[in-house]
Amino acid sequence: MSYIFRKVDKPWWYKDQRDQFEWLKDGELVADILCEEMATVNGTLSVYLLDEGKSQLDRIVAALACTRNYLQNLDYVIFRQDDLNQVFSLEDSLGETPDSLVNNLHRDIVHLTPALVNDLTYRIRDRRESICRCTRSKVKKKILQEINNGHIDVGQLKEPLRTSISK
Amino acid sequence: MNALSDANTNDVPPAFENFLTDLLEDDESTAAELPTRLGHDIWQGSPRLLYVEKLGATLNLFLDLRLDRIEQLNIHVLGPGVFEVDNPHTYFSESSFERISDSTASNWLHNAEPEVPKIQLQTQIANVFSLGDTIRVESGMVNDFSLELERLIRNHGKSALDSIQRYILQERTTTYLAMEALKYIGNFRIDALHHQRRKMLERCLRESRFAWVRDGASLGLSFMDDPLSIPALKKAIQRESNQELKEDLIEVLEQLQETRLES
Repeated sequence: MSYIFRKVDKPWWYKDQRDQFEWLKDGELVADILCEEMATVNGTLSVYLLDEGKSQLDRIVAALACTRNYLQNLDYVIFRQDDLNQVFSLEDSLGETPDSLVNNLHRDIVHLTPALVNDLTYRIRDRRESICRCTRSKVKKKILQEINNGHIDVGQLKEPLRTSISK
Repeated sequence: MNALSDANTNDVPPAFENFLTDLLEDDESTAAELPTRLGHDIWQGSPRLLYVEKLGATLNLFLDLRLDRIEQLNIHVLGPGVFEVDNPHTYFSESSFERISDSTASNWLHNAEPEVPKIQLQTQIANVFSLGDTIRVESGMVNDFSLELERLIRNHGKSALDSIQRYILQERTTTYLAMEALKYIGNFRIDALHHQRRKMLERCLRESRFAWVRDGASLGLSFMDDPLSIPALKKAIQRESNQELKEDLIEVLEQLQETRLES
């Protein structure tokens, strides 16, 4: 069994958001999530493939954190690939991180229509295995580890991230 | 505690007086954290302000820490409403006070831009947040919104932070943009406004009714990584009703406690 990893902003996925959207009914999500968290490009959505043991999870987190300007937390959701079967299609597509192995784990969920994105959003919300936050300090440790392992070239990092990592 | 009643506040600018009031009376955690700022972990009592004197552009605040010595905070006036508190790690016996002047701070004060009218600043803040509504603000990435926000804070210092805080707490922007703004404010490397940025984030964490805004404030504090926010985090955890956010606040608290142990 494989898993799908997608970077998110955790607050969008809070179970109860009626402190700010009081008109939401129980279990509903605000529609803005489709633009902010599930925005498609040419009908595709970017995800990463994880093996059953999630052995590359730390590398994916570090690599994605290295695409940013600032060193900060990284939130992500993990769900089973089975939850996509028969409805959604995955295609190989090279990622754009400083880690080539992670780039090879990148996939696109393709041929998405508005109805399918809506379906996928609720699948992720309801069937996800976990939604996690990797704190700033943990992100820093993972990046340093991948730099030490030779998987990430510190020269590719943007400022001020590079300065934060070197402190 | 009214610490200012013991102070000789002659010649102290009103903005500085407000700063002192914030520093010493803002909440009960503030007094307790002052010695931590000075590198102490053995705090046992409340500080008593002995006196404040203006010396060139550097204001020296002497605190009786009710320990066996007097300690000194150097508070540099960088501009209207902009102060920098440094930690000289020097300890003085009562009989050996030394007066410190700071020509750099004096120059800053002399050359500082005049304070912009509040209404003009509010308009600029509204424009920055309007800009944020029109572009995709991706977490952790530099964009026009983050650049304009940083420029505003660098140019107008504490006045800008106060106005942004009001803008957010008065719910004049979306919760998403407020959350991102607070994360950026925690990330900006503006050391002269470290204290003010931290206080602003702590206040948003304490006072916003929206979980997203409280999350943004707590993340901003985690990016600043200043153990002085530990008391504010502890209180926020006690108050927090959103279980998912509560777990994240505990993570931030643990990070700051770890930082304190390492420093």
